[in-house]
Amino acid sequence: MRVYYKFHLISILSIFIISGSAFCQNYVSNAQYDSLARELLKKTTDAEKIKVLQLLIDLEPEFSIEPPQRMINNLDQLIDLNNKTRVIDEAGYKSLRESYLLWRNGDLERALIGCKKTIELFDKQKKVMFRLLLQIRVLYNLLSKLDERFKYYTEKLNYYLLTGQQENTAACYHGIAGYYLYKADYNLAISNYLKAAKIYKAFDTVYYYNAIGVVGVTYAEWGNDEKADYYLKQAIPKHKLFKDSGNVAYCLTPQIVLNTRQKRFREALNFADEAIRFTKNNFDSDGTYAIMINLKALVYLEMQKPDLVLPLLTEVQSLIDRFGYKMSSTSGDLEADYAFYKYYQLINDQEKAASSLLAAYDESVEVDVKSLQLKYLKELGFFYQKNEPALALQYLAKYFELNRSMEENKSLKVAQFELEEQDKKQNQHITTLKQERAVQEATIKQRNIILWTSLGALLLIVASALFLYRQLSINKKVLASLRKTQTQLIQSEKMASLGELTAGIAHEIQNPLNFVNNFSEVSVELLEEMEIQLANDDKEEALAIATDVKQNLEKISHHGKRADSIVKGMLQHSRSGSTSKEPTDINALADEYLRLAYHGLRAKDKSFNAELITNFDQALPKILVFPQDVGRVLLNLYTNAFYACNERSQSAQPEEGYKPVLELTTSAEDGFVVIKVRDNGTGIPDNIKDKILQPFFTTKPTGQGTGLGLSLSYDIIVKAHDGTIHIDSKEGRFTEFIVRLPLKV
Amino acid sequence: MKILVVDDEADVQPLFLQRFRKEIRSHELDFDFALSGEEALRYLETNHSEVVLILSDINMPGMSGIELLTRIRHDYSAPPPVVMMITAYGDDENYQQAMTNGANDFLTKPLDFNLLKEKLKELT
Repeated sequence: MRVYYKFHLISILSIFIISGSAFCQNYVSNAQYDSLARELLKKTTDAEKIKVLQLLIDLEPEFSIEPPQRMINNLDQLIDLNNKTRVIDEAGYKSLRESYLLWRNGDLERALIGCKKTIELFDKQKKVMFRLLLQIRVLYNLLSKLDERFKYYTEKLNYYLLTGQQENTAACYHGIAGYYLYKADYNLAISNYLKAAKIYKAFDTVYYYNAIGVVGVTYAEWGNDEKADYYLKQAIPKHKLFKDSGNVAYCLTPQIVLNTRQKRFREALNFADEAIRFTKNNFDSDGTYAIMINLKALVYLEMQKPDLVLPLLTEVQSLIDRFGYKMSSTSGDLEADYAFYKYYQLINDQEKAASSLLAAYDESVEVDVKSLQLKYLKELGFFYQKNEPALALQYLAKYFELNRSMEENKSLKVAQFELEEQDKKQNQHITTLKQERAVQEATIKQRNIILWTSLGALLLIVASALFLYRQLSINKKVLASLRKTQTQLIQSEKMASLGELTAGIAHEIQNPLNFVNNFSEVSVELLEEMEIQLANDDKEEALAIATDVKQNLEKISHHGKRADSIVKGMLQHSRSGSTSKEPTDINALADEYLRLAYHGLRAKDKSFNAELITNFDQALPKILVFPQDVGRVLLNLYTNAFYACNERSQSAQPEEGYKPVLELTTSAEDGFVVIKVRDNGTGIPDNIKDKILQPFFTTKPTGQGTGLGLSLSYDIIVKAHDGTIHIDSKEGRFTEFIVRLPLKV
Repeated sequence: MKILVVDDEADVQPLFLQRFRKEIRSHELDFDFALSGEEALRYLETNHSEVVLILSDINMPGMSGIELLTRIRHDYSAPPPVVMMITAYGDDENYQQAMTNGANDFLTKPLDFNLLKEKLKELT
């Protein structure tokens, strides 16, 4: 297992330089990562893959040198998948990928700018990325921009306190703590680590114990061994449990240092060996192992055992030559030159000792680690004191100058109480801001709700209006086309009944015409005869003939009128529009149409016969109706009656002796003219009684009826004449239609 | 010779009486009338022996001419009266129906009285 971690070396006079925490690559986060990576292979849909990839990226353990290739691969895959599906807002991930590529190419300045921009993008999405936030401090360290780091995390902390993103505030406290450690301000460093730890505890155990371990080590550095022991005893077992080997070694360093200081070298060596055991597999990736070996060498130096020191220092030097570890890195301080200086002093090689110490000082200047610079300047002062006091004075002067500038830079010249008060004030300010923000948000939310509701309502109204308008115009069109269709249907129903009538009409006209012809012919004969009689002076006979002729002429006139009325009726019947209501003799109308219907049917079906019984109320007054419309109704009733009779006669057994009868009765009752049309046909089954007045309802085979006859009849009688139509029927026995028309309109 | 004319049109009666005015006066022909098949049958019940010729319309409400013909042929076989059918529908089907039911002749409206007179002459 590769382990990246931040290592804080505590050598005898060292102070922490870089950041305040060991890195967090450990068993737990690796196991989590590996199981997620396996999960990714199982996912089939792009959306699911994107989800897992996001988690993989978010959970990538911290790194101290550069982003691992798999991180770039995951980002590539995520962006590629999202290009197809557009499941997430990929802006943050794109920016992250660019930044990490810059990092891997060694362009740390631009990588830092990119990472900060990435955080802004995720902030906009309200996405918590506390690992990335922490990762940024590594970049600041690599760039030795410690003041800027402090400024950045302070600003971000205020922002996240307002937005309430707890995880991110923890990362900020963590980042700020490291800065104070660099400033050797243990008080504020520990305070901030504890603040971070308190928040971590709620959501990430590994980070929590990481912070607790750092607190322990920092207390040790500060000189409070009791507190150091208290925190380290909590942290070390957990680091072991998490197989967080870097942090185990890190937390062991106070023991090595303390025991060395107290001359308990055996214990110090035991702890050093344990730390080496935990880190020996990781020397290829960072300097931790080398740092531990160097620490062990420092123990032997205190024990004044140069023969044991040399092999260790040789190993450290060969590792440095091989991997190019620097004196100060994210892995901590590797004071190899300092150890060599101590070693040469021990073996009394003053020349080499001096050059080693100067090399150490030069490198500390190069990496701009001021605490080490101080340490080495002080050491240089002591070293040259005896033999070259002027030079010693020069180094000590430098020491004090540096120390003074550092003290000035330290913001901390304030009592803890005041700081706490400041803290309280800031908290109050934040609370006020939060409240203001909450009120503002609530107001905005309320306003938005009102706005959206109004907008919604408005849209709804507009939509309804449009819909209604459209429906209305459609309805108008539909209505127009329906009206047209209705007119056409009525017309076609008229034409259909006209067809039924034609044969009857031909017969009806034929008869009066025959009479007209015959009476004319016979009258001519009679007149010829009369001429002879008159010539013979047979006056009596001539007069008798004249009476006959007169009678014949009346007959001719009668039959002529009869034909005329039939033709007129036919024309009226087929005419589309009703003219006006006319005083009409219902008896005559009913009788006329009965004959038409009967003969019409017989013309089609010669075998059909029916007894027609008419009971006319001779006292019936004329009433105002549309004669052709009422005629059509009657025609329809007769046709139906004959149809029913015909149906029954066809299904009747010969022994039944079924005789079709149609009975037509007129009467005046309660201010109405009542027309009853009764047949002894098949009758109407109960289940269709209420349907037969509906349009298009017909029991006739397809093509034989329009299904409009009765519904039009209903319209004519009920709507146009304020009358009624009733049906009385017993299946297999009779049907009676009772039409009532008001006597007075 | 007694002739029974069956027609639902009442005006057929004055027409026949005028057309055969001379024959009636000379007592060559004697006419009786019925307005329906039923009335004709009732008339025949008492007068069938006198009646030589029956002229009947086919299309009448109630009993049709064909039905009347069938009844006459069934009820009055000795001596069988001469039955001539008259119809406005001079189509083939009507003709066939009349002849198969035992009509002696088939005339179409409008009636050609000259033709009818000749046919009557043949009978006497």
